[in-house]
Amino acid sequence: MNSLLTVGKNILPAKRSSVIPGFGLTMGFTLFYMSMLVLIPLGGLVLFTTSMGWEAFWQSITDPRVLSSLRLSFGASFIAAILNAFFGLIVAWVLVRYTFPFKKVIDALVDLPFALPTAVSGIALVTIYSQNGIVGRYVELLGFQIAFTWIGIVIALTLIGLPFVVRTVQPALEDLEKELEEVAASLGATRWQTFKRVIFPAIQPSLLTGFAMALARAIGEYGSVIFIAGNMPYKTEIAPLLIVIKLEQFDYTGATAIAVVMLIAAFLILLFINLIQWWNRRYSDEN
Amino acid sequence: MSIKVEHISKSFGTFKALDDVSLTIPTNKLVALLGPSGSGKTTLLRIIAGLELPDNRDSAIYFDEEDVVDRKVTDRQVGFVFQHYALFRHMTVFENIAFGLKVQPKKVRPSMEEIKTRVDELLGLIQLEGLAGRYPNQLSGGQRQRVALARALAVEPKVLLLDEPFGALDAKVRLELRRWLRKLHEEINVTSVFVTHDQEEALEVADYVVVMSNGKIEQMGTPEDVFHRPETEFVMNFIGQVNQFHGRVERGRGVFGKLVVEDDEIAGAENASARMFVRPHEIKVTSRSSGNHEVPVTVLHVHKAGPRVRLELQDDENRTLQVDMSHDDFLMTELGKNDKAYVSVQNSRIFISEEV
Amino acid sequence: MTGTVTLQAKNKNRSIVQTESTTESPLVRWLLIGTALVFLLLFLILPLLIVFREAFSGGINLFFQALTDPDALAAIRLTLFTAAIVVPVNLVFGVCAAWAISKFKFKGKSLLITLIDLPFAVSPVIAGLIFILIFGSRGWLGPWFLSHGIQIIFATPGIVIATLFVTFPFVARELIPLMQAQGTEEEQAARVLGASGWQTFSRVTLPNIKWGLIYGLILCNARAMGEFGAVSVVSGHIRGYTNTMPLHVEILYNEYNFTAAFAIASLLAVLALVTLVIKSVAEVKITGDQIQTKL
Repeated sequence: MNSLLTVGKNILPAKRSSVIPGFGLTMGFTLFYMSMLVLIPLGGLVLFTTSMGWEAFWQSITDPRVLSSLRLSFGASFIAAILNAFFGLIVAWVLVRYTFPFKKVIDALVDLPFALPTAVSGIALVTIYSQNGIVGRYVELLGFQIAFTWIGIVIALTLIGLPFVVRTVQPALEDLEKELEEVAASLGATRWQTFKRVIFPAIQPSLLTGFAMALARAIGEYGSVIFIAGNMPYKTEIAPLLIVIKLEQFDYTGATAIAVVMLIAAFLILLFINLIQWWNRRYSDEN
Repeated sequence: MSIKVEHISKSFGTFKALDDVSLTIPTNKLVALLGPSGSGKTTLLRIIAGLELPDNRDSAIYFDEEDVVDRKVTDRQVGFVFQHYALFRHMTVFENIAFGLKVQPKKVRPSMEEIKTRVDELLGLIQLEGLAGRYPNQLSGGQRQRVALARALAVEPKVLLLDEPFGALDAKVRLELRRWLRKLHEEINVTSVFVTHDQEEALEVADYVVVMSNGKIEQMGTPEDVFHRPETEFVMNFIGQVNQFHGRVERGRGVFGKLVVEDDEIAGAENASARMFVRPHEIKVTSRSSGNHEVPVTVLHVHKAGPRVRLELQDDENRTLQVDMSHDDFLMTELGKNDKAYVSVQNSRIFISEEV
Repeated sequence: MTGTVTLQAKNKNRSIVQTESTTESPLVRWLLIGTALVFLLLFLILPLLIVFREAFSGGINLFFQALTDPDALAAIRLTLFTAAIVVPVNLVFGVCAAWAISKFKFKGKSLLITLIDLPFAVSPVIAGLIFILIFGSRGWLGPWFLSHGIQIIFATPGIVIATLFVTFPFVARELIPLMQAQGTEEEQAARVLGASGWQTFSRVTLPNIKWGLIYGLILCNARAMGEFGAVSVVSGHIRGYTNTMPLHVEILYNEYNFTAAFAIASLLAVLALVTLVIKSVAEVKITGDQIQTKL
């Protein structure tokens, strides 16, 4: 344990004059625990990928079944994130700007997808949207089907990504100075012009961040989708499910190849979010 | 364009921001709404702009002869400038100034060239010609406020309303900018109203000063009027430094302890409690007694660091007096700390209480 | 009476004609509110209600029968056991990380914060995959552990490790911004007054971050009990042994035993609702604390 403490001290020297104790201990434990649980395992995955060789990797991911599952996962996630951006913006707007009955309860319920286990939302959604479900039976009358099609997948992914846009846009709307809208109005702008030219540009970075977070979450989602998806190869089989299937067949290489593609996508999205934050800072007073 | 408001009241919850206020602002004048915070000056300005609605139905707001009280802010053609500029941070200086022109309905909207000409003109007016492509966060506070002003002027407003326009700036820029506003107003000649809690600013810049307190107008007049001829105790107290004495009026004379004053204003008054206000420069100090109505005092402090000498005096009734005089006059008195001296009141305002 | 009503309506007329400068017409307003509510109804409220309706669709007896089934009880026990390990461990980590990050200056701080968030960017299924690669019977360390009689994958340790991974950031990411905002002045004052390190933490820091801590804990716990993807990959789905509650829900559902599946699901839904209530309370308290700090 002693060497652990000094590790923390040597690598990342704290400010000498600090009178607050515990840097070595807390930093040491943080780095140790994070390395054991997160960094080394993830590094192992990267190592495993590089050891499998480009040929094997390429062969795995260009398999038609894999390709169609990736296409479905990314496509459905994208549509779900778009839906969340649109409706999430409206929900955030309504929660910040207007008063209506049960507003506080509804505000709290927005976080439900964070708290509700995905398996629960999965079986609930399929019950609602299947042919004899309370919504599904009416959709059936319109001539199409939700459960066991890609639409069902989009619905499940919309549910689990729902809080992200609302929770990122809400504070941005709250922070918006009222004066900006008043100035726009005094200059003759209509409400819609004010929204389009003044409010939207101000909340756009938050909206994009929320969109990206919902997208990232949707791409990796498993539990809520598999019940409603139908899981037909080439049709309604999402990439995470294919990983599970390949693992069950002990095809570690195939599973890892899909995982790497998904991880790269996730990191690109993370990068995108950081870029938005950085890009947005050019207007702020701090620089 | 003249502005006339009639019977405006406005409450926020239990707080009465404006209490039956009526006011006329003459065409093309620069008028200051002056008062402490909570006096209702900003609320009045916002109601004139249409950003806030008066509570009562019998209220009216006339722009010239036209009642605009039912007209939305969008249609009132007012220019509004906020204390914290409220610039659109994702737009350049050019885009900020052009905003009001670009949002006009297609039928009346000027062409892009016309907009560019107009914005360039305004950039010249605010002396920021080279900065059209900058973003607000690349400008100083003073520059930002000038852009905000240009943005308001771009749509050729009928009235220009400014809410504490210099409130967020440091002292030096503030001084510079208010002189510049004075000059600008002479050039553009638009009826303008600005809110301030800084009396110096109001007295220096405005054609007329409206002093407000507790949701009511105390006095409206030229800066000279409100400074030299305050109509109420509040104005007397609020504007400039003042010494206050509590006492009585007895048979036409003001008796404030040993200090006895004769004044035409109170000539007819009989036996009432009264308060006398004397400006620091209206008290004469001598080292030797020279006649009637003088009170002996002791010099407590002498502050010489400034354009005028300020004295803090105490009389035998333990009242503290603030006096100021020129350095030359002070030398003539030959006074110093702890010296005995005599004071006499040169000019005063006495307010008699209604109750006996 | 009618007269007064019309008069009042007229009186109010003006405020209806002229809306406030920064809001929309009532029509637009209610259209937006309606859209938001329909969206939330379809995606949040309906699924929540359906869980309870289905759970009790076979009557109260069937409901309790489903919960007291030995396999169900085993699943509940395993879920509670997992959470009982995972939550405290991640709590200790979260407090340590937040303390180091918020009370000291060092290079690479923002990198460290990003790394802490990393598990959020990793799909739960991939998290499970990683631990299979390491501890699986054909993985790197799996054979060694197996030869020493320790089974990790398809056993409880695997479930615990996978859950640790997916809930890793929760406590830390709630505490870090909170403690950064609070600064170090109070701790410095305590030290100057002679408090020991532990006294400084427990008497000065802890009361300040109490609600943030609860907030992080409750979210961590909800995820720990509800995690599906990662646990599903490493569990092996052995009934009565390696089935957590969410996995048990899946098995029952796939066996068309819908009522029992929803009965277990309703327990998890209640857990989610309790989580939301505590979260709302904590949020109010945290905002209150922050306002106090500012003053």
